[in-house]
Amino acid sequence: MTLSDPVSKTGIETVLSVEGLRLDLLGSPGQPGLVDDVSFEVRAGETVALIGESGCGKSITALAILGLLPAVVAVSAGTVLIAGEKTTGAKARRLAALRGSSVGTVFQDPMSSLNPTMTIGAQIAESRQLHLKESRKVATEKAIELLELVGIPNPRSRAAAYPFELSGGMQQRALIAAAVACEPQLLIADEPTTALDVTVQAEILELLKSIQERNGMGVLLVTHDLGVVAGVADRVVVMYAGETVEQAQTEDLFASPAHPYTRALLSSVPQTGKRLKPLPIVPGRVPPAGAFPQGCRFQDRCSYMVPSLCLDGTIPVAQVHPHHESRCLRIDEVVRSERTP
Amino acid sequence: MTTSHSMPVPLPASRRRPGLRVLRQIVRRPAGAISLCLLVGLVFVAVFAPLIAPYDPYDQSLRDQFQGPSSEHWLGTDDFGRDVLSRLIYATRIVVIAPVVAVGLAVLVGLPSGLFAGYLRGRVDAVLSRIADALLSIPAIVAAIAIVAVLGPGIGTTMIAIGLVFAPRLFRIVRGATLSVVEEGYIDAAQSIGASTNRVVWVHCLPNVLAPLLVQITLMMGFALLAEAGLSFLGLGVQLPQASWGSMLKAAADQQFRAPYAVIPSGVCLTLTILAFNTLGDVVRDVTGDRKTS
Repeated sequence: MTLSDPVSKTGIETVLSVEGLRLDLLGSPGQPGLVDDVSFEVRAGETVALIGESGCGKSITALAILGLLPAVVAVSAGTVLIAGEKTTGAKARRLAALRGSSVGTVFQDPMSSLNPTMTIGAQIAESRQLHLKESRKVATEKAIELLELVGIPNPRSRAAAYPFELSGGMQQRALIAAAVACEPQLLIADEPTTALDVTVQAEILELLKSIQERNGMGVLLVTHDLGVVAGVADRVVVMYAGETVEQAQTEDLFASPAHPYTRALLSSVPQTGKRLKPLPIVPGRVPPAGAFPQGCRFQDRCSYMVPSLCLDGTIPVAQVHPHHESRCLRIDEVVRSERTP
Repeated sequence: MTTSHSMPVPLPASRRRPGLRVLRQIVRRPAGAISLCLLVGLVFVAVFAPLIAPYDPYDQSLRDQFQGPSSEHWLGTDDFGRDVLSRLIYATRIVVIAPVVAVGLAVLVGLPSGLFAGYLRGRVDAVLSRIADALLSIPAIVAAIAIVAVLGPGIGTTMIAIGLVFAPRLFRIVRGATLSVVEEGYIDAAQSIGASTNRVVWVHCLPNVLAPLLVQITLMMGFALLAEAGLSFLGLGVQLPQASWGSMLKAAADQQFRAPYAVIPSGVCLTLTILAFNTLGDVVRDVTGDRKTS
């Protein structure tokens, strides 16, 4: 795919393309990047899950895509294209014009993401007023329609309510309504269900799915919940210590993980119907940014690690088979061990 | 969640604007109601001063100097034989206008600079904060006297001086409040739908720093009144023959051996009014204080 052509070989529009993205903390030259060599794509109508432990660089990657990095972090390499438009290095004003119109965002904590001093309706209407230049009245009518779309009963009176008058699940629904108000091609959902209880989680995920079926947007779902991933994602991008370590179709990834980290993550998910035994854990912690080791970043916690192989240089991404790649030098061993439990 | 889905949710009796809600809560507390009544009463007195005052406040009668309270002159007369009650009543105009103008000026300067310093941080914040620090290093009353000395005495310049002295204090409060508001998720959310810096600052930050700001504005009104009285007492504020509670107090204090009770009317008025401002400030703080904790 060439950079200027948003339509890939398959003929489906690529709404997000991240290529070799590297993020650096300003004022720390010579250090490995906070995020390094991250590449993935989201196509229209597709849900891509970005997973990994806390501190793997998932959220900062999402912020980089939105152009909302904190002042101390900068993009030092790579490109981000939203709907074919290059956003890395774009002017702040252009980025603001894209946010809300081409890319919507749903954040983790619905309570804190809603302005306590504005009514729900005004907050949903805001992006339509900004991007489509609709009058307050027209935009508010549209906001009421959107509230109905996201399954909020009594949308007209809810629109006049303040955030504290709604439950957590309803607040998240309202935020989703605000994020999709201008029918963006891409929705970035940063742990949209983490702050909600389990029954509500399922409802929210279903809602995202139904909106996606309606308007064909691509969804980038940032999460650390593998249950969520299995339920809704078409493809999975696994991040570890600021790198993408594995990418595959969801079934592929769950059936035959080709990176030791993914394998370890999957084996630590509790499953029903199995004999009771202690749940395996991944020993150790994600190294903090700035303390990434030479060679493979997963080396300290990896049961496949070979000192002669894994401790030097940078580990390249290798194809396991088409549409499945892994950043590991011992893919064969990992895959084989998976098949013989 | 389940309940909200299955049954119609009762709506609050009426959808009030948050401002009205705060006002109602203030009035519901005795301290708030009393101090608010007092201050509203002052505004009323100021507006209708010519109708209420029994005498012309500038009418001198040297024969009637230093009279005690009587049925003719309820609060007696001053050193020029002017009716003290009438002068007190006319002086409420200063009381009403001076703090509003002074604090208004402080808000005009301190609010935008504080909002942008807190939101943009970095260099803008560094420059503005250093300026504020420099201004704050000069004692308030000295700074005010210096400004009046440059601009010349008079009620107008006094109000400007007080406003300028308060501006950096207000700046700091607004900046601090903005710094914490900027960390909130809804600021990220506003940015993520493409709101411009101006919009984020005025539409999303401002309403959320309003609560602490309102408390400070109320308290500052009291301080501004006190500062005006102080400067008028020193002869820098209101010029004769116009009356201000501060200048009346000064005139009375000069004659305290001939008419010791003369300091009481203006002194009591000043004390009560400032007390009312401070009490109201406390009530506003209590009412708006913990709204955000969930």
